[in-house]
Amino acid sequence: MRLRRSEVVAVWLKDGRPDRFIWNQNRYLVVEQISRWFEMTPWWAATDLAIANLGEQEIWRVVAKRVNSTTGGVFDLINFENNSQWYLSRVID
Amino acid sequence: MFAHLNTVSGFSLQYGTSKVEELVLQAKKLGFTHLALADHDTLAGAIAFVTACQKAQIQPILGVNFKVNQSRLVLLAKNSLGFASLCRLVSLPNLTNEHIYKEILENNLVVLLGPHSNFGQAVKAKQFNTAQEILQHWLSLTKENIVIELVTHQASKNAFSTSNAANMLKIAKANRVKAVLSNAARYLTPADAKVADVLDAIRIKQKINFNRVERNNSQGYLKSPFEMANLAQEVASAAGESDIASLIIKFTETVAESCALDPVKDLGFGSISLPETEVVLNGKSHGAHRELVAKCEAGLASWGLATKSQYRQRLETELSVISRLGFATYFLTVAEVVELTKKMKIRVAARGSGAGSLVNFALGISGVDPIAHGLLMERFLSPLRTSLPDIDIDVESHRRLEIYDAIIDRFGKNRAICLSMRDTYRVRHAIRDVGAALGYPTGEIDLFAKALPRIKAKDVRKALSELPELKKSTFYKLFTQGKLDNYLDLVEKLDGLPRNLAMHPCGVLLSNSELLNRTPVVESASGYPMSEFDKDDVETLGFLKLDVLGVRMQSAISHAVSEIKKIENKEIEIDKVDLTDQKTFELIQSTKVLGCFQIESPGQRELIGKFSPRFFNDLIIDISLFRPGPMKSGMIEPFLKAKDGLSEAKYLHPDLKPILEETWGVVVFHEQVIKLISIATGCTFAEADEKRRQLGDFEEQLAIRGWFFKRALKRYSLSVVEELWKILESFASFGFCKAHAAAFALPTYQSTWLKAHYPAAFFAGILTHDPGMYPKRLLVNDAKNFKVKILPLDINTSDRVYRAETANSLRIALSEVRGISEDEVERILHYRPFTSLADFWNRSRISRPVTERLILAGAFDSIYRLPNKDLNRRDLLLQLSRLEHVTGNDPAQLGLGILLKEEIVSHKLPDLTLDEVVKNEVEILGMDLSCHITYFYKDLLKDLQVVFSKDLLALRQNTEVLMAGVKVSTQTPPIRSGKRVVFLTMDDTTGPIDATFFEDMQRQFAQTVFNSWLFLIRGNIRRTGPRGISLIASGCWDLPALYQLYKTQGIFAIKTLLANSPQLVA
Repeated sequence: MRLRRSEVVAVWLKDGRPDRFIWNQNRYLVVEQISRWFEMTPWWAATDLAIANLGEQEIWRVVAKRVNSTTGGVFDLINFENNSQWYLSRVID
Repeated sequence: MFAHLNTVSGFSLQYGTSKVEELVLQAKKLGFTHLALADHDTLAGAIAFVTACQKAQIQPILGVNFKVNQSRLVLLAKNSLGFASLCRLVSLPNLTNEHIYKEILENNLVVLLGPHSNFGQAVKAKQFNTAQEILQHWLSLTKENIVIELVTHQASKNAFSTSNAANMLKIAKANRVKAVLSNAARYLTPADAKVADVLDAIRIKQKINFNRVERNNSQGYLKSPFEMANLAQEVASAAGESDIASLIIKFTETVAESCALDPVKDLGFGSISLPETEVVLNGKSHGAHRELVAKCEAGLASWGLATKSQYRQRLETELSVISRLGFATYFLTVAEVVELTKKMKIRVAARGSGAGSLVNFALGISGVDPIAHGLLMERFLSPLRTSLPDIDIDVESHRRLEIYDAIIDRFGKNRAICLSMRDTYRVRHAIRDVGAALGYPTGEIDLFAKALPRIKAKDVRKALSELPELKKSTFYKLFTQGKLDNYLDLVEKLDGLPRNLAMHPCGVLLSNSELLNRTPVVESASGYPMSEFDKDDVETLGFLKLDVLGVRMQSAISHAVSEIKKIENKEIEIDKVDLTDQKTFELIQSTKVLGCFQIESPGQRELIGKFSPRFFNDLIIDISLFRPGPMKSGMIEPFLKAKDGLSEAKYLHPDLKPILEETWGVVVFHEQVIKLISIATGCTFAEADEKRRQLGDFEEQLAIRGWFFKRALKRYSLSVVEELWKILESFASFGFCKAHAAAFALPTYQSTWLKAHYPAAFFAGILTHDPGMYPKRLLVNDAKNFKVKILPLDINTSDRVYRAETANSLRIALSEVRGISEDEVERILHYRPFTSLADFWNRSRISRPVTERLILAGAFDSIYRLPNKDLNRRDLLLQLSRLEHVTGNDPAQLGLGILLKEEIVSHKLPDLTLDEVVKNEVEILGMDLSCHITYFYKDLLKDLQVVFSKDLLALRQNTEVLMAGVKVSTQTPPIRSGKRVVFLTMDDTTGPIDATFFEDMQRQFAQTVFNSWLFLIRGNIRRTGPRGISLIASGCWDLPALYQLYKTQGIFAIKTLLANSPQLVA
């Protein structure tokens, strides 16, 4: 299953790209977009129709910095085709 | 403008997800001007694709995505020579790179080196030096035709990622090679991507599995020009060359333009290509036309018609049309095939509109005299149409392949090949394949598939919600709960996708020596060379297509005729038999025509019961009427009324009487429509036929209306013209080609004639070749009713096939024994006569189970004069086990000598009961010979006062009766009201019983009707004509189940059960 373990995050876009997001009650600013790709969801394996109907995952790998802090890291932000909700799947600090 | 150079259709079997027509429509919708089809290793969709492009006004490009070693590359044809290259490459059984190098050196192909090519694979592996070498090799062959195909599906780090496309772009730029962009499109929209996963699973015969799914995401669809431009920008930017994005699009456009094909110039659409005249004439030097004239003259002379002026005139007219169209070679080719067939002593007869032509009659292609039956040439061959006419020939089915061999042998493998056809997804296959892909339990999928009728896959939901017999199934429940949604969505999406290419059951394609440059050829499962194109494609390309249809009835007739020769020592010339034979028409009128061609079905028996045909022409009318159109339109009743004199035949105008008299004023035939249009407007038959064809189309009908009124009003009054138009409008689409019906009526008449005069030979023919719709057990019963004695299986007398032994007896064939192989039959014939079971066992070497079945079916009774007081079949079975024991343990078979001499010992066992004998007959031979199966329920049937088929005629209309019998067939034909009606035919030894279940009865009884074999039926008698009778069913029960109840709870329980089920509302 390549559906990633993920947490819901709130993401703000600029020119169609992730620009800012809130995670763990902290605000982050995207400073660099590393790559962006699409992945399918294993629709046939989903026991939950809701997941099967989410469709494709669009993944943005970005470098982001915590606002008012020096900490930050590489984040994978996921947007599902049929869902306005964003998820955060991976963090490399 | 951007163009997709690499797309696949469903012809890439178990890979592409869309039909070519949908692909073209989607491209049109997105605004493309060019579109390429490059299916995997096949050109099967090429002609359908180009045709669809023509309609949509899109420039077609044809290519093939070839697999060579472990890589794939797309070759696009630049012109007709390029297309010929593609045909040759597809036709190769083992394609290698050398074949491809050879073809691309001709400079007629463009090579796309994409992510899956050997070049692309090296780039993906980041082996840039290798990639460079590979590219150099391609460029050394033909620099101008090599392009690098960039594809990005915006996947993460693989062949379809933007970064890989960018790497390919860098190499292209460094080597100054053109780079084009494609999307390797496999589906039309992202929503269809799931279908690709299902097809991947079907292809590898596993359930869908993440590691075996080919796609990364849903980006491999037919993207719009705007989306593709964005991708070009993304790839260019990733390569650090953001300013060359527009150049990539430009190159793509250039390639598309250089590969656009002209359907007429490059592919020969609308041309005609026949075998070379020298080949057809076997090298004779005088022209085709002269040869045709000579053959026709000789043919007419053989019928004694050469001097009749009517025939001379007609022949001249037809020959001049043929000459003007340049079709002489066509007719000579067909005549040659017919002659080849006749030389092999195989029966052959043209079917279809071809019977309307005197030339066909004279050449021996058709057996119906068109002038004697008022048939028109124009319906078949018109000076106004330049496409080749269609001649279909019927031959003996069991010898059809011999004719194929003879044709291929005569014309050569480079001119004669078989046609293919597409087996496409319908509901049952779709249910099975999608179910397996999703990993559902095989048993349940199987039940589901079998429960569904043979309908289109896209109608699966409609069937589930409408068919009463499905309502009790588990699937129905899941369906109503919405649990099948995902499954059924996918089933619907497979609808109509090709599953495989199969050899067409009758089509043969003939052309000149250019054939193999114009059609891809593959080997069929049975080893015949087969075009990847189907009949429509071949027609578009103008090849000569001949349908050689195997007709079992022709085999049966041939068998019957040879049986007559044997028993009566009489040579019957069945093709010249008198068409006014009294005995034959009496048999037809009696409706006892089971086994007769075309008229044996319940519906037809009902119709001939009402109609009572008296002449051959009546038979032609009958066959024309028994079709969905006329049956649905309600034209039968007024026709029969007029015929029986109950209402007067009406003619709008005395001029129309000669045209419509033969059908009592009702328009039945296309030929009549043609004549009506011609007489009303003064146009030629050829022109009238054009108008007739257009009448079928609503919009064209309006256009013709103006033309018709303008011209007809010059001759007739407004009221006549208006009435006439009404007739044309309503009947044009129902009419039937009389020539076609006449060609069909001939074997109908011939088979009925044989049944009337030589029943034993007739039944030997139909039991051997099984041409009809009924099970053999019913035909055997029918034979008994025709006073033909059925002689039992006999090891020393029974042949491979059914044989008439006398004028009224018939011997069961050895091949009927369940499980017997052809080889075993041959050995029995070779070694007989046998003097004992031991002798048989010793010499014939037939397997133990088959020998046992032969004993139980009575094949040894004659040797031992069974049954007698000392021995019975049980003793033979015991002897068989001794024989097996001895030979099994004693390879030298020393003991066998003793057994061979030994008398069979009587074990004083009771003989088999009748019950056991019949059970064995049904199990071994598939038929009840000694007595009818319903015999075993005789006490119940007697208690219920069940009525027999033979007694029905004496009963009054609407009497309620109970009847019992064995299922013969069920049918659900189209019906006027659109409501479904189920016809059940059963038999009770005294004849067939036809019962009709209307919709109100189906909910309760449909399941029993479709699933049981032995029935008790309740119904009301409906008389349909002087001899016609059927039941309107009001109940149907499984007889064995009722019998169980009868034995345990008595007759009262049965009567209560029957009384409590719904009755007919009078």
